[in-house]
Parts: sequence; structure tokens; C-alpha cells
Amino acid sequence: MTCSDAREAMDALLDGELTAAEETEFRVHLDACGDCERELAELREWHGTIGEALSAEAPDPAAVAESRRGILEALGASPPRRVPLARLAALLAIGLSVGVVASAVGFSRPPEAQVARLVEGLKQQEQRDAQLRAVHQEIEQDLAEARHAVAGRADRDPAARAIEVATTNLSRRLLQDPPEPESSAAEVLSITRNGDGGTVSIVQKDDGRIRVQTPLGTIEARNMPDLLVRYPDLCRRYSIGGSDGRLQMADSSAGVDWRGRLDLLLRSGTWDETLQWEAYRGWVAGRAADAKDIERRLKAHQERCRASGEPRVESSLAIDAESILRRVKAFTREEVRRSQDRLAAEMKQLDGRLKEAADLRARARGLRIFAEDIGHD
Amino acid sequence: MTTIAGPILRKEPRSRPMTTERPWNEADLIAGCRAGRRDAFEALVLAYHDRLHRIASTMAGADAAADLVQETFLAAVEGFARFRGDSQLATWLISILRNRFCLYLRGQKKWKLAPLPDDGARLSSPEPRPVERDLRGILDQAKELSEELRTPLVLFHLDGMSYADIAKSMNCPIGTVRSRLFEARDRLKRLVLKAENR
Repeated sequence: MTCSDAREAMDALLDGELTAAEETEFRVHLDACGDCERELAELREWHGTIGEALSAEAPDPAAVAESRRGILEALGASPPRRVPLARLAALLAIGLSVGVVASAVGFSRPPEAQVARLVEGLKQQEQRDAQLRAVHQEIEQDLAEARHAVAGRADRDPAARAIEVATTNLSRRLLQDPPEPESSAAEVLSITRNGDGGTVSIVQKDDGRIRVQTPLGTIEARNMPDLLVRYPDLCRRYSIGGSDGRLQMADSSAGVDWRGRLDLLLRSGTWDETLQWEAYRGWVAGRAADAKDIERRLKAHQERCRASGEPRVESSLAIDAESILRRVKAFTREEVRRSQDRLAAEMKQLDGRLKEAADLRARARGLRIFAEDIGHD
Repeated sequence: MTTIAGPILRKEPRSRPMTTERPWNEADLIAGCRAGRRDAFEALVLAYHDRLHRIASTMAGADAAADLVQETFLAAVEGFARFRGDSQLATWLISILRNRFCLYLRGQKKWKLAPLPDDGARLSSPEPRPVERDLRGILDQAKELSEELRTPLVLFHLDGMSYADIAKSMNCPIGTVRSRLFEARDRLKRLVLKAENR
């Protein structure tokens, strides 16, 4: 082991994450190297200081208990909601408190026109927030109906299975939760080549994950697009390309059949609307007599999706304009200005989320109609 | 000749007291939550709330911790049907917490709208407890690290999680955890030195 290797291993050693063999090798080096010994001592001290600093500020026990009690109450009261109304109430309460303090210390009052603009902005924000919740509800409803339409058919009908997996993926995206880590995925595709100082292999597993082993080390990515984006230099160096289910390395390639590819696309999260039409076309092809009939049915299906893509509900949440007005009227000039700035930024983000939700809604709607077609077949 | 005394290089796992009023094993807890049983949800909160709150408080600060933990439990309750049990419950909950923390950092939440007074008189939470000045400096600088570096640092040093569990929580390979921890410590050291020289 060289000093450079030892330095790389020091953190893992102190973290207790070296294997016994690696640790033994490290100790042998340390016995003979005073510099590394000193460096290890310094590093050990630094690790201890970090741990001490991060643990130094324990949360207030009363705040922890209050948080725990609040969650237990929320769980016991009703099915959980995405944006608990308690938060809205808390927001208003904070706003009011700030207003009272501001009035008491006599900060300068803002012009009426500025107050009116902020009130209008806050009303619009509440409205958009309500819209977002409504769209999310619609998506959840469509996904539930899609699942219901193909319930119990996934084992014998690949299209039904595709819908089942696609609804799960869309639900995940809606919740914005990370996929659960896979522990024992099997290899479905692999390419191994010799050259450039060693063996290079690329493997795709059945959960979509890609592993590339090179003489320089091993890397992993969630799927093929992830690999190409995160490791462009490595992909260029070894001429790695392709897509999920179709791997390429230099002049070698490997691929799975359409159904296997669909599986990978769904599992790796690279499924999109175009592929949904492909799946639908594949399903119709098994039932329609000729190409014209297939395209006619596909077009009719797309038309139905488009026609039902408009929002079914607008906001169902009544905005308490009086309360917003009271809150803003208590603001100082400076507070109004800062709120206006924050509001502008948050509205931009909210618009982005609404756009994303609209896209998800269209996909969920298409899936529901697809599932209903299959269910009625 | 160098001597390394005893097993200091191998970190002792930290004990994590479970505070449930009645004993639940993890499998029963998962089954109960999947079945929508209220007593199971309560046991889940009692078992994991304080640990998640501690992590959230260190990652995001005391003000945001309660909201983040609440969001985490709500998402867990909604998502239990998708939990296959491949990873530990705690690892899964921490991965959700991390996800909520990312959203929080991206400013996609609305709870920061109300302006606070400039004089630092925080209305929504008590003053943080006094912490030794040097340690406070490190704690403050740790909050300057990016989420990708801050999270493994907190999960390792505060919660005592292993590389493998951190990797599952962050949905990345173990090697990535190792390199991020290395970078986090290195960058933190440079930030602290820079702050001291100011």
C-alpha cells in the first residue's frame, strides 16, 4: 500500500467500513510510515469534532413532544391530506403575529396600492394551490380507476401488466418519493469487451439499473439516460450508448425483445407517452385485422384522451380573502416588499408544478382510458 | 513502530431506544400500517419520530424540522402499499425524509412566506440552546454544504448509520456514499478554516 492508497482508505478505516483484510494491509503500512500515522491522528480528531458539532444542538424536548403529538393527532383524525389545513392556519397565525409586532414598534406603513397588489397575489397563490391539489386528486382518481379496470388480469395480459406498473410509476412521481432500493435484481443484458488496458463490461439489471465495470473502477446508474448524463466522459471513452433494453459498446450491441424492453422502461422510470401509444398499438395489433384498422383504433383512442384531457374541476377551496387582507394590512412597508418578492418566486415554482401536474394528469387520463379499453375487451 | 490501541477503528453501533408503549416487531408494524391500523401508525410514530426529528433538525434547522417530519409520516402512510420490505423501515423513512428535505431546499414549500422581523426575534420557535462557539461555527458551516454532502454527513455522524444503510436511504451505491463523506468532511474543513481566517 502506498501513502496515496493509505490516505484514500483513512476515512473508511475511521468509519469502521474497511474489511478485515484492508485494515490489516493499512496497519502494515502505518507501522512503517510516520507521516500517515500523524495524518490519521489529525483525521481522527477532525471526525470526532464533526460528530460533536452535529450532536451539539439537541432539539428542544418540548418542541419534539409537540411535533410528535401533532402527528399522532393528525393520523387519528382523518385520512392524511397532502397539504394539511393546519399548516395554512399556522401560516396565517405567523403572519398575524408578525403584523402585531410590526404595528407595535411603529414601522412605516405601506402604500394602499402595494397592499392591494400583495393581497391579490396571495389570493391567486391560494387559488393555484387549490388547483394543484384538485389536479392531484384527479390524477389519483384516474390511476385508481385504471388499476381497477385491469385488476386481476396482469398475470395473463402483458398490456394489463404494463398498465399496472405504469400506474405505480406515476403514483411515485406524484408523491415525488424515491423508488425503493432494489436488493437482488437479476442481470438481463450485458456486454463485455477486452482492450484499452483491461476488460470493460456493461450490465443492465431487471430493475433498469446499469453497472459499468472498467479497469479504473465500477459505477452505477439508475438507467441508461442517467448513465449517459452523469458519466458522459466515460461513455465517450468506451463508446457506450443505446437506451434501456438496447445496450451498445463500440461495435458490440445487446438487446431484449419488445416486451422485455417495455418491462425495463417501466421499471427504470423512462417510460413516456410515446411508449404508451406503442404499447397500445401492440395490444391493438393482436386484435385488429389490418394496419388501417390498427391506426384507426389508435387514433380514436388518442382522440378520446385529448377530449377528456381538460380539467374536470377547478378549485373547490373557498379563499378566505378577508383573512388575507387583515394579515397584509398589518405589514410594514418593508414586509410587504419582501413578501412580494417571495411571492413572485413561489408563484413561479407553483406554475412549474402545475405544468408538471397537467402533464401527469394527461398521462394518467390516457392510462385510464387504455385500461378501460382493455378491461372491456 | 506504531501501535493502534484496541478496537478504536471499528465504530460501535449506537443504541436507538424504541419508545413504543407496547412491543411491535418490524414485520407486525409493517403489516399493521399496510392494513391501515391506527395503533400501528401510532406505534410507527412513537418508534421513529424522535430519531427523524433529530436528523431533520440538524439538516434543516429547528424551525423546519417539525414540518419535514410531519410530511415524512404523511407520505409514509400514503405510500405503505408500495413498501416491499426490501430495506429496513427506518431506512425507508429516512429516504422519504431526505426527499422532503430536497423539496424544502428547492423552496417548493409555502411555509416560508410570512416575513420575520429583522432583529432576529423569532416568533415561531424558541432561541437555540447555547452551544460552544467553535462547535457552533462547524454546525453553521455544515449547513452551507450541498444536500448531497450534508445528508450523508448527518446520517453518519449524528445517527450512526452504516455506509450500506446510507446508500439505501440515498438510493446510490456505497462507493458514492464513501466519496461524498470524504468530500463533505474535506469541504467542511475548508469552510471552517476560511470562516476562522475572516
